[in-house]
Amino acid sequence: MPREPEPNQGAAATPDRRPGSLLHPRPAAAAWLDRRLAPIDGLFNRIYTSEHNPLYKSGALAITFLAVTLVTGIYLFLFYKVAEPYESVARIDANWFGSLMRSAHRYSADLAVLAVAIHALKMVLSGRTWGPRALAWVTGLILLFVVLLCGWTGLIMAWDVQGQLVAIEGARLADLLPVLSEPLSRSFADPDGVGRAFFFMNLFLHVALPLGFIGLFWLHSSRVARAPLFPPKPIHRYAIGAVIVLSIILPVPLPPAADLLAVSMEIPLDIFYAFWLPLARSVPAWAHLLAWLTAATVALSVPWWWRPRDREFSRSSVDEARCSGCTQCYHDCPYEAITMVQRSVPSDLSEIVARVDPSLCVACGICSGSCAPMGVGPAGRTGRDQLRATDEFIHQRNPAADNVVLITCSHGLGSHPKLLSVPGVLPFASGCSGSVHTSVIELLLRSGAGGVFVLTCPGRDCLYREGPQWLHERVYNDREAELQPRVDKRRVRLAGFAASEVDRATEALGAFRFELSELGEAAREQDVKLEFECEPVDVQ
Amino acid sequence: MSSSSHILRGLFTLALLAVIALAGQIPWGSPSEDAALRLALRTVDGKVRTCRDRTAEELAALPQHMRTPTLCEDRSVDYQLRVTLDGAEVLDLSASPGGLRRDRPIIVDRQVAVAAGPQQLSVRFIPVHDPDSDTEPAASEALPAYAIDRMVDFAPGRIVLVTLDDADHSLEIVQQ
Repeated sequence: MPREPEPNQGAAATPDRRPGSLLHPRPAAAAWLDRRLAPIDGLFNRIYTSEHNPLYKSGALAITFLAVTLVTGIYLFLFYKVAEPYESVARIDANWFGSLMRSAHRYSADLAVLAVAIHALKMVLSGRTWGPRALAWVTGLILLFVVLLCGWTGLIMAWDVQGQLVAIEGARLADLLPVLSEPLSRSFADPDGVGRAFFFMNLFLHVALPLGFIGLFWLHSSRVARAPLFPPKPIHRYAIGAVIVLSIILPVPLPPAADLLAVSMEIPLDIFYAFWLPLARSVPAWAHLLAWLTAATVALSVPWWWRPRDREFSRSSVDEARCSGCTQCYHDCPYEAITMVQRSVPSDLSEIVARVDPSLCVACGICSGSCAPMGVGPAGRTGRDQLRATDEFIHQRNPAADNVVLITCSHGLGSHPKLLSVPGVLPFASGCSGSVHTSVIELLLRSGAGGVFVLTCPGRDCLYREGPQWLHERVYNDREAELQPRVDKRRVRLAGFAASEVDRATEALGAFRFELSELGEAAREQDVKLEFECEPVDVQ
Repeated sequence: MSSSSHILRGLFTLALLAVIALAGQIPWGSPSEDAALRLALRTVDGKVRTCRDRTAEELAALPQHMRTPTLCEDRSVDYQLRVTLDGAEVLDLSASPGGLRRDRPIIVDRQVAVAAGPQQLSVRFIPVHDPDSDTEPAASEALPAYAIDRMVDFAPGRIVLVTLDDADHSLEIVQQ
């Protein structure tokens, strides 16, 4: 009969901090801010669950919303007339379908900016703005500016009171740049000055700018493998449906027409695009331009000042003597940092060998988990390093049949005290769960642990994009570096929860422990030397 | 997921989107009860051309194809803008041609707040001779000068626009 395990206390409740548990380097302020904003994340997880939390797919959601603006924009384009901009928009708005299209166009454009802002904030808070990610950050900001430019030209197209102010204040800024032979703002002094040519040029920009978006987006996502264009289908459909429902329930009202001879007027301010109007109307143009330049400089330089002062990425390297050339790490790397090249020194193992480009590697360690012969990974976090740490853990904690070893991703929920209140749980911290080598799980089980519970981040909020996915494939679907068939997979459980889902995670852990008790006691081996049992995989 | 969770999710989504929708239409600004006078003037008239004959030495120093006997130079002059309402001065400024070489049009785009009601508007836009230049005062005086005097009813919240019609060489008042 299994003995009743004792609750974790004292040192046992302290999560391990081993080489494999290196936290992702980010500024201390980012961690502080992240904790302050965690309740919002928690609220969304309670409402949507971490599987469908829209905050976790904010970047892809921005594309969904932009796609809606594109589709609805094509419809609006068919009826818009540069000769009578406001009147044509009013005619579009006069019938229910036109109003629906216009509202969906506007709402999706607003939501796209909001999604981009959330996406950028997540990158800042998780420290994903520097090193190899600096390119994505900078191009992302340029993309945001292009989206804003599209929005501004769109507001001007309608030529209502808000569009008028956007045009006038935008022209005041443009006049400060020494590129125009005559001030642009003078065009808006006289009602006769704004003619068909102006609206044609504005329409051209509104249509042409999105074309530039495509090239920039390619650059933005060029350093990630398998970059998704859209969010997962449920989120994608839900977002589109929500925009349509909102457009039906709350159609965007058409503001009064532009009036260049009104001293001032009340406008329906769109804070997503025209957030700068209050500042522009209250300070001289040069001060407004200075504010924009300062904001742009601060934002663009984030990769250089928003980074940890004393940390660098511990990037992966390849031990060519062990690399079998199987290409699995090349396929698994979420950042396309690994290429396969010809060996410089011939070997019986293979003709090709993996090579890591340090300028692209973010030290996620996922290659450590994908390498059966354990020949690749960041220093101190390769499969062999993980096995050494596991061996040390086994000797210190001596996991028994009634123990569940809780492997926790350092970037997610971690070893929360509530999790450790589950009897018999022994915490074992790892880096990204995708970097956990399946041999670690095997070693723990063969050494006598009743079960292994791997607590990952939610699959859609992995700091390194694909960690939980690859681990799942290795454990259950025989992806290379797979969990060996000799291991009883009923004793292994992978579960992804966000930091705010402690209760759900604790419940899942408790349920797993209960299931284990039904299985009975596992066989225990003495002096398991798993590291030396690893054989190079067959290249064929 | 239970049906109550679905309903909660739907209601939360709609509430969230409603907040976002309202954030896209925040009433801002207010109609003014004051009136304003806007002066939007543009002219290319302010150029004084001075010509002289080249000396024989100068002509000889030039390549054959560049030996034009007369050398002309355009100098742009400043314009003075004076605006009064019921005899009280509301604007007095000097407007210079644009561009580093002062070869661009003279452009004035100013707006001044004025009290609502009928007032006698007087606008003078006249060339000014630069005593430091080598042109004759008469040359500046020969340039077009613009003036308009009219009783104007400034409506509350509205702008009265004074423009310069280059084609007609006259100031024009626009009111709506």
